[in-house]
Amino acid sequence: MNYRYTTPEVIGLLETLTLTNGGSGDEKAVRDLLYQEIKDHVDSIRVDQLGNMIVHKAATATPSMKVMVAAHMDEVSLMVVDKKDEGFLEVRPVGGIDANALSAKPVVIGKDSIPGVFSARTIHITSASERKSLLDYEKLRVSVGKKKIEKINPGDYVYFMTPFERLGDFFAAKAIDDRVGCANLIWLLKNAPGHIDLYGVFTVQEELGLRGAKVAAYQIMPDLGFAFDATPAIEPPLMDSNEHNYAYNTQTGRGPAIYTVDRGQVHNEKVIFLIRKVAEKHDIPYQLRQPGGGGTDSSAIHMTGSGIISQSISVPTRYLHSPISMMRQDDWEHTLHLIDTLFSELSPEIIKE
Amino acid sequence: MKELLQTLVQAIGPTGHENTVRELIKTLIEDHVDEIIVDALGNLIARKGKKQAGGLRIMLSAHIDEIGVIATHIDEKGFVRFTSLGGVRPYTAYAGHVRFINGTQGVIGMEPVDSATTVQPLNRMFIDVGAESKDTCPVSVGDFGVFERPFIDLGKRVVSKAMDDRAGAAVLVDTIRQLKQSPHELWFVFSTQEEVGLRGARTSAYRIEPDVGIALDVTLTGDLPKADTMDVALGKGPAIKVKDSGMISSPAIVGWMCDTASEFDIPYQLEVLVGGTTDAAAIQINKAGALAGCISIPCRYVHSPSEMVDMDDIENAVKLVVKLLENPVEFTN
Amino acid sequence: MEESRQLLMTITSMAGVSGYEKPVREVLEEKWQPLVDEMHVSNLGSLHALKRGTQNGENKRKRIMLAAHMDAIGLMVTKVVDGYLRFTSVGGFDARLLPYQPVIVHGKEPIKGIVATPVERHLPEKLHGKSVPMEYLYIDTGLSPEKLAGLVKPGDIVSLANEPIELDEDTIAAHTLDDRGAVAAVNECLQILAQRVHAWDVVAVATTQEEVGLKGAFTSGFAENPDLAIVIDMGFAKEPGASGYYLVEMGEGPCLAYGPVLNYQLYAEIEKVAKRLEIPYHKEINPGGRTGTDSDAITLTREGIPTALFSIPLRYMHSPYEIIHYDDMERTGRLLAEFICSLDIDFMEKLSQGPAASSEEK
Repeated sequence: MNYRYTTPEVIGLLETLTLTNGGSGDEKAVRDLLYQEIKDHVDSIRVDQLGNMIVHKAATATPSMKVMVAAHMDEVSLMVVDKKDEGFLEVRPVGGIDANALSAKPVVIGKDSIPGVFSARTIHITSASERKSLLDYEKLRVSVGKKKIEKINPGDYVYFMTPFERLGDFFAAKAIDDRVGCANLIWLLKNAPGHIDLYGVFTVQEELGLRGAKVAAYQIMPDLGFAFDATPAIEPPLMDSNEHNYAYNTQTGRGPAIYTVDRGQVHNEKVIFLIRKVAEKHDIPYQLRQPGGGGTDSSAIHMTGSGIISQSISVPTRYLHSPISMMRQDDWEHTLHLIDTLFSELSPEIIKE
Repeated sequence: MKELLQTLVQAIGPTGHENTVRELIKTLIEDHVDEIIVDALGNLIARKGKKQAGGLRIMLSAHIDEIGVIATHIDEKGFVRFTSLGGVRPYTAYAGHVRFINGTQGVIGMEPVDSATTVQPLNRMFIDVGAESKDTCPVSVGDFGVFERPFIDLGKRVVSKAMDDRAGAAVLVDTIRQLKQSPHELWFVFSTQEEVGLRGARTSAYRIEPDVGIALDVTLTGDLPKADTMDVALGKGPAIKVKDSGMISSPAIVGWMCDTASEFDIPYQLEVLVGGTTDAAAIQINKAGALAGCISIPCRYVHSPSEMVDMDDIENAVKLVVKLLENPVEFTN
Repeated sequence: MEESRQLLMTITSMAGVSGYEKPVREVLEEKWQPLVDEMHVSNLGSLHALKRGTQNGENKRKRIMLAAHMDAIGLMVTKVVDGYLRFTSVGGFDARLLPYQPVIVHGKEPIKGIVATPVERHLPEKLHGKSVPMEYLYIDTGLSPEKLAGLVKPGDIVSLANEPIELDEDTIAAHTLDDRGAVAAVNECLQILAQRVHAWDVVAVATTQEEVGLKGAFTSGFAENPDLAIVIDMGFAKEPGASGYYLVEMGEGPCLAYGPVLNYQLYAEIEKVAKRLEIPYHKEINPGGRTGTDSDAITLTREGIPTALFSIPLRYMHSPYEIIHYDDMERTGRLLAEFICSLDIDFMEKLSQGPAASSEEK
């Protein structure tokens, strides 16, 4: 396949973004990186009270529409809550991370990125019945070198030490949720069509309940809102060939995922219809995300003020909220292609009743 | 081959009392080998050839013992309490037929259970030989017995008790008869007491001290409804064992077997068995060690009285073993 | 010494799963070639490295064998299905440690992948609320089903892909520290012996397949038939959630095992050397009938071989990131070397079990 959108430069940006650490409340490094990337391409940039970076690219044509696009800078991470002098830390998640994903994973802690590893229970001194039980945060510890522990304090952030790599047809990295959304928003800001008065918002603390998006939407009050995110694709092999996977959320290899109904929002059918029309016209594969749980910044946007029409477009990704996620280059390519064509075809008609 | 197999599986040879099977095999092979030894554990050891330049000393082992029962107590009413010889599963034992070495036949019953979905452990079962009392019971404490089922010929597939490991023994017998020449010194061991810890193989290997050990045994399959994730199926060819729970086959031996099978267009499968092991594990750590591997006959319902194999797999196993032994081979570490 | 630390960094980022140890063996062959007089490889792939001693005269020169296992636990592909791989373990793994663990599948070429786990809704109900057993886990390589089937088959070995990390300048976290930390200690010993004179022959054996039944130790012990043997394996360092008399602090020296299945007099002689040189150590009590190490294979080989067991304290044994303190590795190597240098031709008399019971003279 010819990759027109996910060029080496764009991939390079995603790589840098995923390797930068920024948990909910600690997004600064990511924000600084995004600032450098976009500052020469837009009309104004400011950072609000919560830490959201609000970037404005003014329209150059009329009539124009005020559109807000959100992508969250924060990744799921952990925080040190207690320190034991023998070199162990007790941690808790910042955002949703299953404790069972953490055993023996390498991490970096605090400003100095001090290396540590999550504990594991030595099999020889663990009973068979204990091995059947799930792990929890009370039992997990992070081991750090004795000589380094004095530099660590409760409140320090803990991040996965995962590299960015290609695995077959996929990219594998931490924090694809939502650095891919940030990369997509950067692309849009650099290539926005003239009739869009574009407010790109790099939000904070999405993982703690869409907090950044809520206040950003309030400041902007756009005509139309979007969230660019990543969404789970749950497609394990099944034990029995007679079984079927009916609960996959989305599937990789089928293109960008368009949200329908999630826990926070019933998406607008006119918007969905437009997206499908645009995609079919340009031969872009897409899928409808299975109705169900979950949510994105879009749910925060659509409930702001007296209500705003808002839509989520996400890249299907395996193993979200774990040390390592996987996303197909093809799906990412089609997502950017869809964003490109969709925004060109957006018109004020869509927000009229 | 089917006749040979039927003769072997229907012979009675529980672990620890393999005499009948041994004698049977001895008559089948004695004209085709150079030397026969029967050792203290009852192993039948047959040598064919002497080590030549470029040849290796190869030990091939198939076990002739089958799982069975042994009487532990005769109660006042003539019911026979028993324990297992080798891995007998309660759910295959209940209502099974047993034949003791002395010819007595019986049925396995069990003490009452609460529901139809429960089965008692073996020590709450008994064998009913139709006796009225302890005195008139034809079975005594210490008597050996095997499970009895008729041989079913389904055409390509056959069913019987003791496919484990008479199928392996059949492969070796046929190999002995078919093998015209070999540069290697070959030791065919029809081993005893495999089911209780590879004992016959252990002592045979010590005596022989082979360079290479190859077991011929059965293995499980993954081709039944909701079965384990095992990539072995009936009819897809003999299985070349990579690993089981007691042994990691020497990579050089696995390579040799795969290359030979490919070269002579013999179908084969690769086997990773999570539970169970074979005589080869004992040969591998004999004295200063040996290269070891195993060729397995895929088998359904192992350790039940109704084990099922595919005749093509057995014929192809013979082809493969003959080709392996006919040709010289060199192993570098 | 720096060389042993570097060797450890190198070999802990290599595969070398039980039965398939060749890559590690080749590194050791190269490292030990200048330190010993001759080397050979056993039928099971163990590396025997012999450094001759100076003892001369009519009596056969005494020999001490050191054994540290170079194999590591790993995984093996059982089935290629729908573009994913099912697997089983080679050696003992707690399945709870595997989700999201990076691995390398040694198919036709090395292929990177990660272990993944189904979410609860895709598991049978009997497993809800419990940890996911290994047969339900799978490896995701990101390759298409066709490509994967062309590259990987059942029986292919899978090793863990994580790189070693120094947690501070004294502490290393890595996979396969069990038992390559001991191999590094043996290296340390050989480096020291290169500058010293010793009467006894020393044969350092990097054994294979310890993790799947001490196979290399059985056969190497038989082949060498030494007068004495010292096995070096890993002990249990204190870790959260674990309590027990056998747990020790890291960084305070190796454990010397003391128990009925090892030789008490040999223990005493080694302890004397440690005390004389003020090398810190822990006395590790082993009351049971087995130690779970290569010594279980060697002590009953042939006519019986007096064996000692050194253990380097290790945290999180058999996990993707085990932890040891470099000092413990280096002290172990030093104690081994010093003990070897202290051996004279009469040493075996110290281990005699007493005069014969019968009145007849030998």
